Amino acid sequence: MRSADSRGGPAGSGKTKGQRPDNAPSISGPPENERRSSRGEGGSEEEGGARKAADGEERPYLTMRALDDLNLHFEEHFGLRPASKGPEGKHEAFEEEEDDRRHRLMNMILLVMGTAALMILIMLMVLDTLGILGPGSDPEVLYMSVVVALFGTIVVFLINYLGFPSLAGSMFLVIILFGIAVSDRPDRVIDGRALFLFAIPILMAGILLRPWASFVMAGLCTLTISVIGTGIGHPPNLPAVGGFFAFAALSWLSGNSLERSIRNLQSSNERLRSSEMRLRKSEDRYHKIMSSSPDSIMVLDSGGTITDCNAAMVRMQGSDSREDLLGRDVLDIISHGRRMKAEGCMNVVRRRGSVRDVVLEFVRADGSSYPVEVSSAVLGQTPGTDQSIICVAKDITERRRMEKERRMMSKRLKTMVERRTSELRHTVNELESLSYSVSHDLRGPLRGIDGFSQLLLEEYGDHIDGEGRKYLGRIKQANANMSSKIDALQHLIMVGRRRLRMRDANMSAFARDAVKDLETREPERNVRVNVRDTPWAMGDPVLLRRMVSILIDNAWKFTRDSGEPQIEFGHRHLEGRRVYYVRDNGAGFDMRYSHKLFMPFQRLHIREGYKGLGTGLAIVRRIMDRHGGSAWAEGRPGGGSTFMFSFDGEAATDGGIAT
Amino acid sequence: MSERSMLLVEDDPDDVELTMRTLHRGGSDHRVDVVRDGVEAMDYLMCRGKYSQRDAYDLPTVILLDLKMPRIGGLEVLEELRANELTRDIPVVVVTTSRERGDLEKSYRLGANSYIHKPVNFEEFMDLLKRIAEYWLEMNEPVPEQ
Repeated sequence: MRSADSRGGPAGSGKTKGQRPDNAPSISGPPENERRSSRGEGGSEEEGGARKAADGEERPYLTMRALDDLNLHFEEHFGLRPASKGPEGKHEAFEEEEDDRRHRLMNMILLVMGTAALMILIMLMVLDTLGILGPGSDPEVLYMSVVVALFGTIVVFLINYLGFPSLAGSMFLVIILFGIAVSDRPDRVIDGRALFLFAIPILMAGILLRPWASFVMAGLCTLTISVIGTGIGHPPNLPAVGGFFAFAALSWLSGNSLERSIRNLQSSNERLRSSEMRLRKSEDRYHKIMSSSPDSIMVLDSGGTITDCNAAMVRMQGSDSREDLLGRDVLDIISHGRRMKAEGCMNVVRRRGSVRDVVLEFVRADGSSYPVEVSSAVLGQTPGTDQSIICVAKDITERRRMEKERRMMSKRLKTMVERRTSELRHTVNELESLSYSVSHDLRGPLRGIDGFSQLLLEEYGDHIDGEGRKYLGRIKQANANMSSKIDALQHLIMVGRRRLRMRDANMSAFARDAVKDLETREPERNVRVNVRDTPWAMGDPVLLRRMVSILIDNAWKFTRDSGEPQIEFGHRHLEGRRVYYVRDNGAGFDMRYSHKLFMPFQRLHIREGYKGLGTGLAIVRRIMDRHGGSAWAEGRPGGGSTFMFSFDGEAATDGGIAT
Repeated sequence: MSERSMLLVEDDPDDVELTMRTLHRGGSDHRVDVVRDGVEAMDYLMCRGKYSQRDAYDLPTVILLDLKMPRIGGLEVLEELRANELTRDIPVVVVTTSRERGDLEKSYRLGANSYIHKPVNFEEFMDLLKRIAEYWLEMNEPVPEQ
């Protein structure tokens, strides 16, 4: 017994109405549970729901097993996989099927005959022992014929058993023909009532062998009566021959139509089966998806009643079993405040076919509620056919909590950053205004020193000798120096304090202006200056002009000792950033100290010629800082230097232009 | 018409000294009164405290006002001056070391007539003071007497 029912577990075995014969699983129809499942697909949702409820979680496994069985049956039955079978294969399969049928029919007939022969033999023995055999009957002949019949039956059975049903059938028919031929006196056989007995092998040939075999048998019968007739000098019985062939034709027709109907029946059966298989496969897939999904899944009927749900849904709801959920209105498990939204959402699903990521609130079995994100769609492909709705729900409590935490964190962080920034800004402002006012206050005494030194010089000059006057001059010089340092410091601070006014700025124009100023101031210098056209930059034009001017001034200053002073202003693209540069072939600097270049009051050149306060590059860097950009430099002693700045963020690497 | 005079509001004694020297050296015979901070300046103008004996109608032709002073600062003095009927029209020249934009803006908003940045270099300082005195005390037509 290999039907699905036998292994189907509690659900299957309890409900099986009848058992199928072992060797004919395909004809007796699918097992009870399979038939139910196919009905569930087309039937009402209540029915399907009830079934699924009864089957519980076992259901998918049961279906799997039934499916395996079914596959086996198919493969054994047709000797091929049903899906891959072509028309030829179908025909062969049908012939095999027919052989099988004949084989079984043969077996049955032989069984009946064998049993009958055995019974007759026993009866004969009993009658013989009792001595009440009819007068004139020869017991030996009787025994002989019965034994022969029994033997013949066994032989034919064996041939049939060995897998040659056609041969067995032919032999069987020949034996019967022979039996009929010798069953009576020859004249009675060819012209008596016994003649009708010939109908038996003719009809049986159609059934046991092939429809056309009836004609062969009719021919054999004709041959038999001809031989017998010739033996007794009887002319051939033509009407009988006509009758034989009429019988054969009848048998042939009925056999053919029988075969055709069986064939039709089988092919429709086969179609039914394969569509059932597909159905079962898809249903199985559906159940597998349902049971393996980590998300909670519910199926609702068109009215919103839960007809199916998976284990994840049961778990999420904190219910004991699916039964707690099945049959309930879905609105029952949605918290009061969200029911309107849920209904609206269902309407949208019905109208548009689906909704995604709707946030609702479900109520657990214990009454507590939790947020869920629901995506939903109508199951039926065309509107109006199946209005079942599938809902995939995700418990978003944790996500919500994390989001909330994240929001709180970022808010806290933001507040903190804002507070710190404002503190910092405040401090910087204070610091800057302090240094500004300090630098102002430093000027007062300087004026005093300068003023009184001057007065001393002018009013008491007569009392002071040359050396004394020189010292007074030095005092005034130091004073002036101090004063310009304070000026420079104030400039630097002012760059930091200035409110930026962002405009499009033509950097090349600034460079040209700076060059023009220098050429006017020092017409004796012969510097080859090349200012290329560059893209305009976005920034505060006042500061940018100052910055370019500082860089050009520096280049001008440090090329004073070069043989053929050259200055170039331009731009390049480096690593995706637009970099402006001022390049000269002047004194250059040692890269080891390049980090000091941009610090205020730091100077790398102590030579008399290169005057300066050392705040120029600090101002350059401060200006670029304020524009969110950066400034850097490269060079080598005696090999010139290149100063670069870019508005596009921090400098990734130093340099790249000097070569 | 009373004598043209100048009121110098300056807390730094060095600056006062240098200013006085410069003005006298320039041969100016105009009277220069000096007060040391904002409070004294207001007392002087309103004839209060130690200036209670002063003739209230003897107003300076021009006031040289420093901004950074103890007690009442220059800007507050300026504000009070402009708010008072009597002193409303007196020309005020702010003379300060401050280059701060805010000071400059506020000074003009409060009614300063001029804003001069005090140089550190004494020669420049002298030159500047001479010109201020020349302009405000001699060239410029003062406010008519009430």
